[in-house]
Amino acid sequence: MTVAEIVAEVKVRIDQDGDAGFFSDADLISLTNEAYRDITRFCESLEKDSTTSVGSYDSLQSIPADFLESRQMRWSTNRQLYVRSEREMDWDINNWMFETGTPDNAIYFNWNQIRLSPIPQSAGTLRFRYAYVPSTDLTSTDEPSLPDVFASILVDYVCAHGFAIMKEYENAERKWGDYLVRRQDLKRRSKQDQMTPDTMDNQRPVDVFNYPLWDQGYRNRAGRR
Amino acid sequence: MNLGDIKAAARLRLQDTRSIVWSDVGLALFANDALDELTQSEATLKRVSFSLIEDQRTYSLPTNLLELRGVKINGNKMFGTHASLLEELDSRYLSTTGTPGYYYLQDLLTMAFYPTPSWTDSYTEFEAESGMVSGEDGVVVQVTVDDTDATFDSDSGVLIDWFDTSQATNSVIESLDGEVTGYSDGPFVCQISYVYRVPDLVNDGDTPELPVYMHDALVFYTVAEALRKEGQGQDKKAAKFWQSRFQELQKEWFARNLEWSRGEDQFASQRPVSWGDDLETRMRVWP
Repeated sequence: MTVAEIVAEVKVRIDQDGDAGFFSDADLISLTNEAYRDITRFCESLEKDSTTSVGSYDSLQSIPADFLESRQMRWSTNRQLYVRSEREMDWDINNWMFETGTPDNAIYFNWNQIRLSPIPQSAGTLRFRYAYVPSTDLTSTDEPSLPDVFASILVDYVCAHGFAIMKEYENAERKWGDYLVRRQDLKRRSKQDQMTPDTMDNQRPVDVFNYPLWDQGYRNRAGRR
Repeated sequence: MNLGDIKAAARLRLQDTRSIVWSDVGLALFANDALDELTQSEATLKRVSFSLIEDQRTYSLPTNLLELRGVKINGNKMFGTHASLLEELDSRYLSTTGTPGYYYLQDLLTMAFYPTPSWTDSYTEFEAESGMVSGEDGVVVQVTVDDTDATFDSDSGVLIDWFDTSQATNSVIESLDGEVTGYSDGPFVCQISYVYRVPDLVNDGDTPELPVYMHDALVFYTVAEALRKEGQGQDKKAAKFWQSRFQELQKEWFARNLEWSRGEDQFASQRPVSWGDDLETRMRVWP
């Protein structure tokens, strides 16, 4: 389903005839992109690889702009990097920020940087697999990377927001409800099918971690809870 | 998405593309409020370094500081404490000098160290418990210093740590005749990491210091605030819809922040916390 097809379906659902109505095509494409970001962010359904050449003694690396959550990190050939927090590092090694050697750990700093520890003594490659949210907008001929059966979720999102903008609140709430249910279903499926393990899975602080939010995918799984 | 894009997206939702009801200044204000709501968390960290001055106890903190996260001197972790504890520990804590081991907040924008920093200025000068100084009694016979490394050889002693100026760790050299103590490596450099307040969006070309997918949250908040404002465009029902969109993103963002960093809040115990009023803090920082 292309963006143009999504826009056409939205127009029918919100009773807009052609371009003469409430929204221009550009408005609806913009809402479709917003919907796509929302879906991919919530469901973590998109993953890709990134390879960065790292010079010797170059420990601080930028995280890709579309980064959402890490899946795997490897140093050079195939050395696994463990994602740890600064707190854990401080606890283990007093001056870890200055230790040199072959990297074993990757530590997040801010939302856009990652530090390798020990600092690489020789140049290497950082291989990074991560869930991402598209940072460039789809155009009308593009097709969102979603299974066909779920592409129409985007229609629900755009309709809900369209109705809200037009102050048709009952319709907006109904469509929004549809969207939330289907988004949850997609998240459940993408989590079930996610073959690459989440490297942070066993490191989450369970006592304050917002599981109700994160676990929505599992919550409705048959036989569980 | 820059400020111009955020305002345009908000105007689409407000159906006010000609700025009849809401001014650009007002929308920019709401967008900056949203930025504040989202960024005072573990995911907006900065790290700065500054040199310590001998015998100076207090240092100014950056004005955009919200909370300190970590303090290191020459790479070594400092422990957070506070003045009343130090007073119990050492009645002369304001004037005690040495290698700092603790830091504390003097006020919101001033930090202090205990002991007050002092050091030996030269690599070749150090103190020894039993007077073993280079060239005297032959304990340490050679000190080589270049740009990055200092190497110590000892006649009769055992070198238990090596010294690298890039690491700038304190070194201790034990010998049969005595123990070299208090060796310092020249001026200390302090490195702090802290949660900072991100700069306001002023010009239309300014981009929020947040990942791209969180920029939508600024739009939702701006729309919600605009619709909540009393006046011609007020629509509380619509405001609630957009506000809930913002809140979902905000919660997810904070949850991700906690997962990423989980940096210990070293001042947690110093906050005047009464039952319940730390809920907002707990949502965004690791206690």
